[in-house]
Amino acid sequence: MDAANTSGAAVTWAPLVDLADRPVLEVIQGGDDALARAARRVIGALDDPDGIISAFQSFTS
Amino acid sequence: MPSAGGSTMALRQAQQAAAAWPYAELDPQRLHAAGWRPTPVRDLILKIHQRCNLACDYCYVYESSDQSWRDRPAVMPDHVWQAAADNLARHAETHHLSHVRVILHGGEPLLCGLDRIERLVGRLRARMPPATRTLVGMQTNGVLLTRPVVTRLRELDIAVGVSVDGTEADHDRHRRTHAGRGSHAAVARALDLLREPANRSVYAGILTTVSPDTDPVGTFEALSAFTPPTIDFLLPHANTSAPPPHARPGTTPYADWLIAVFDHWYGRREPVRIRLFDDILALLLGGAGSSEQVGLSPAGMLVVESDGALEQVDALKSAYPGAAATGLDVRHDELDAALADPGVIARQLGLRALSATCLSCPVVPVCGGGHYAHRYRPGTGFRHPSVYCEDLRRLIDHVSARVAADLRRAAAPEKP
Repeated sequence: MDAANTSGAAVTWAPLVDLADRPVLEVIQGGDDALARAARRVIGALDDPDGIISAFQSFTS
Repeated sequence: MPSAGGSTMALRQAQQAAAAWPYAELDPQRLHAAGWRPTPVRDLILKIHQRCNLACDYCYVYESSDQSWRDRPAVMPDHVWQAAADNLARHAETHHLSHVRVILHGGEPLLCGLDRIERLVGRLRARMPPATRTLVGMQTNGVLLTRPVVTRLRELDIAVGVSVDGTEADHDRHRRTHAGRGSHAAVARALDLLREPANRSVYAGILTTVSPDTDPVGTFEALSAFTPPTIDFLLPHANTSAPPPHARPGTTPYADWLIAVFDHWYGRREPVRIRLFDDILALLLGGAGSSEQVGLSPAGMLVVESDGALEQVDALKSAYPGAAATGLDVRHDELDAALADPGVIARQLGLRALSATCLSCPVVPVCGGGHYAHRYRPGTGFRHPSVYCEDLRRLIDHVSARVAADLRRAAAPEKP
C-alpha cells in the first residue's frame, strides 16, 4: 500500500512567518479581506479546534 | 428486520475485497481501547427523491459504477423520513448536541413536493430536544425554484444551495435536461429570486464543479454575478482507477485553474466566501477545515437513502459499487451504530487515516490527505495519497506563499 510517487513530498515547504512576538493580530483582525476573515474564524473557533466537516456550505463559515 | 443479516455479511466481504483499508485492516476495538471516540453525527443528508430532472454528464450518483439508486424508491416514503427525524432527535439528545443540520438532497429534492417537505421539516423541529437547534438546508439544481417555491422555502426557513457551473455555455455543456436542453436560464432565474433582499436569508450559496477547460476568472465572475454568500468549488470525484478527466502526467490543471481564481479573489475587500480557499487560509493559520476537501477535521455526516439505508456520503460511490453502504437502516438502527462502521471511523481519524507518504509530507496539516474518496485504489482501499495530491500541493504552496508575504508585511515595523 501507499506506493504513490508523490514528488511533492520531497520539496521543502516554507513555513509561515513566525509571528509569535509581532503585533500582527490587530492588523489582520481589523481587515476586511480574506486573510483577516480567516484569522477571525480561527480565533473564534478556539473552543472547537478540531472542527467538524459539514456537507453544506452555508452553515460552516 | 435485522440489520446484520446475510446481506450485511456479503456487503462487508465485498467492501473488504474492494478496500482492505479500512474494512479488513482498521480495528475499531483497538482504537476504542486506545481512547479514541467517534464524533457524533451533526449533518443528516436525506435523499428525499432519488430521481433528477437533469442528466448532468459527470453526476456521481447516476453516472458512476454504483447504480444502487435504481433499486430504491423514487420518493422517500413518509415512514422513512419520520424514522430519520426521530432517530436524529434521539441522537441529539444522547450526545447533547447544540445544533444539527438536515440537508434535503436527491436526485432533485424539489421533485418530492413542498407539502411533503413542510411535513418533514415540521416533524424534525417538533421532535428535536429543546436545547438543539435544527438547521435545514437543501441542495438543488435550481430548475424548479420558482417564486412561489422560494417564498415557501423561506417561510419554512430552509436554506437553499444551488449547483451552477459558471458561464451559460460551460453550464449548459454539462448540466442538461433529459431532452438535452441546457438548464442555465432556469437556474439564473432561480438565483435572481434568491438574491432578492426578502429571500437572501435562505440563500446558502453556489456549488460548482471545477473544470480546467473553462476560463477560471470568467467562471468566477459569472458565479459572482449571482452575489452568492458562498461558492463551494468541488474537484470532480476521481481516483487512480478513474482519474480526473483533465489529469495528465507532470501537470496540475486543477491547481492551475484554482490558483487563477485565487489570485483574482485574494486581497479583495470583503470577497465572496470561497469555502475551499477560506478553509486553506484558516488551516494555514492553525485553524480547522470545514469541508471534506482539505484539513483533518472529522466527518460528521451521514446519508439516509430513500429506502431508509444509512450510508456514508455519495462521493464514495465514485470509488466502487457499495462503497458508501453501512448495511444499517434508519428505521431499525440508531445513528450511533453507524459510528462503529470502519468506513465512517476512517473519515473521523484525521492523521491516523493517512498513508505513510502523506504523513511524511509537510503540507499534510493543510491538505489533510485531500478528499477521502480521492484516495481510493482498487483492492487496497483508501489509505493512499489523493489522486489530486500534486494539484493540492501546488495550490497550498501558492496560497501559503501569498499569506506568508502578507503576514511579513503586516508584521513589519512601521517606518517613522
